Amino acid sequence: MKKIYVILLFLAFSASAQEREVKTSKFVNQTEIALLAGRSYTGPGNYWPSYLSSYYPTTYIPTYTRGNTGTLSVQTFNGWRVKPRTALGLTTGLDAYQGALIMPVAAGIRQILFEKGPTLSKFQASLDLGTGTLWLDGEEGVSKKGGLMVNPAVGFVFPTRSGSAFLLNFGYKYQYYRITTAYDKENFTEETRNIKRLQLRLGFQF
Amino acid sequence: MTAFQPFPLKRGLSDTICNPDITMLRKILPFLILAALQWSCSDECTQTRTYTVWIPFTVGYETVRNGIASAEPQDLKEPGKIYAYKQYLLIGEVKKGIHVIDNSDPRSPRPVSFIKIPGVLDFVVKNEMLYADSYMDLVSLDLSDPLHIKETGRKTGMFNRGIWNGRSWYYDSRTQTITDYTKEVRTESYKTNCGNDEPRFIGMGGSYDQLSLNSGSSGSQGSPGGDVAGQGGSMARFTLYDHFLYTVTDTDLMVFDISNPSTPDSTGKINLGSGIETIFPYRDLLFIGSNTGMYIYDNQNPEKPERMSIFSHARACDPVVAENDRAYVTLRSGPCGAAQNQLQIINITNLQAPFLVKAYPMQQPHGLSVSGKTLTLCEGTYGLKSFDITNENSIKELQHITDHHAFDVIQLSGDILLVIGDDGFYQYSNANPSQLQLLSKIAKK
Repeated sequence: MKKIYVILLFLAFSASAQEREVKTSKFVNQTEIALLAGRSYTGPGNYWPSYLSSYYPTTYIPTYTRGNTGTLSVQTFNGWRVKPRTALGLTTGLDAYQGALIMPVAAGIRQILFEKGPTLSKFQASLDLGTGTLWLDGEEGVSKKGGLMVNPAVGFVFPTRSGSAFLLNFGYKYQYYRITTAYDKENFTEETRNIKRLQLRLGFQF
Repeated sequence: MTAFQPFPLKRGLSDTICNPDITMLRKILPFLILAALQWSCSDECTQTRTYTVWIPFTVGYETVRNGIASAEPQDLKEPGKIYAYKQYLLIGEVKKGIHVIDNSDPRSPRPVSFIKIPGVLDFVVKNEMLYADSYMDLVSLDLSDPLHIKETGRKTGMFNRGIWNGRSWYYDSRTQTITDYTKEVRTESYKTNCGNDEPRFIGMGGSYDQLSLNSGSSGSQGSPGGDVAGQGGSMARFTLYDHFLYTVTDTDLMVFDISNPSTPDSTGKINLGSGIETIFPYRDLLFIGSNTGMYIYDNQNPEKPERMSIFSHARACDPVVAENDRAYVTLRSGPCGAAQNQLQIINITNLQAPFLVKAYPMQQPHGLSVSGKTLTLCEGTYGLKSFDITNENSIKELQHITDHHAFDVIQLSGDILLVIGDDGFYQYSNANPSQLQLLSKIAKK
């Protein structure tokens, strides 16, 4: 953590020390890698109806212990600068959770809130709103359907001389999805999952 | 590049968003912090599962032995086996009784009566005499007046167990009680671990499977000598030949002499191993479907059928029918085994050495019937299929009806198909096998 802090400080100073003409483009790409951190339950696996369940019916109350969880995700935002400080576009990527691999597809906005100069570090807010798709996460006999994805974040843009920039964002990610397993019309399960994660994103912009 | 803009005097929403002022930010900051604190980072996952359980109950033997009676027609609630006899159609109500329906006009079947038989699963009819299982007993009933049925004979303690939907009842001769089960579908919700360490037992299925029971497909039952017998099918456990009634339990082939129709007499029992499911008569042969293979028995001495050969296959649920030197076997994965779902065509020209001609993948095959060049196959929840089997190396699907469940079928003369499924009874005309025409249906209520 200390090292990251030092690097970020260095980047911030190196950017602010170079107040020169910076090339800007209408097109904005922000590509980031993220750590998704949250609290999840671990313990015995979910109970699925099986042949045995009908022979030895019992009321099953699973017990779980709550623990920290961390997974990775990558995302890319591609958009247009509609105002000098505002970019609108589409965000997609890959989010790995313990239970599913999700590809989000979202509309995104990137808004610079504060900047002292074009070559100096900026404070940015972003919001991605869309849906998560599970087409990459196929499994026989199981139907997985994605749902709402909301990802607000705030962070810093550290411009470089070439016009690109490094990014550091802190966000919150909510993802809903649903898993159904049908054995026949009398034996099936439907599980709804509300995944909530704090997000630390590192990346670059060009 | 635009530098930092001074705030205009009048501020619209977009300006506020794009150019927030610090004072305002300070105002909303406490709310933002509060909102952030409200946000949880704990996953919330809930699973709702619906599953089948079997609740045990006991039945005393007096209840079984005094339970036979005629009653007014009743609604179809849990359809079981179907059987065609003369103009009548008999539909089993699982373990409750038999619906007698006058099917003189297939477009408009008319309920006649309901025969209460505790524990009934399988039945056959010959010369106005109905033979049925009633839990552990074999009973014979005079069907000449369906409204006033008479019990004429009872062979007690013949069966120790019987299976339906993959669930067996048991008879304890010491206490003279039967332990049976009622099915209950439960739904419950609980919190899950959101996919952390989740084992998935895909394909285990529920215990819900019709396989081990009964019902019909074409295949005339042997009845030489001008006797009038009815017609059962590929999933039946009872069949008739000459003056013998054959029944299969999950381990034995039992032979009953019914030359005195009112009092069936047990004449023999042949142990077949385990996992026996269906019996189908063809010429002087008996085809017995088990969950590991197809047994062919020579029936020239009907009192003592002799085993000729076994055609083994992967472990699966397995009804069988035969026609024109070919046997047609459906294999279905389920509680009997996890083989692939398929239809197998087996050459039985040499009865000592049957061999596989070709196997075709299916979805959930149950009962089937063959008539000439047409094969009709029940696909369980996937419906009903009609095939042209002129070329056995390349059979053609002619039609697939998907709007109802089907687990057994009987082909009657006059191009009538009787089909039974979970949701009721259906009657089709298959004069044109590419375009089955629904004549009538009796829905489950």
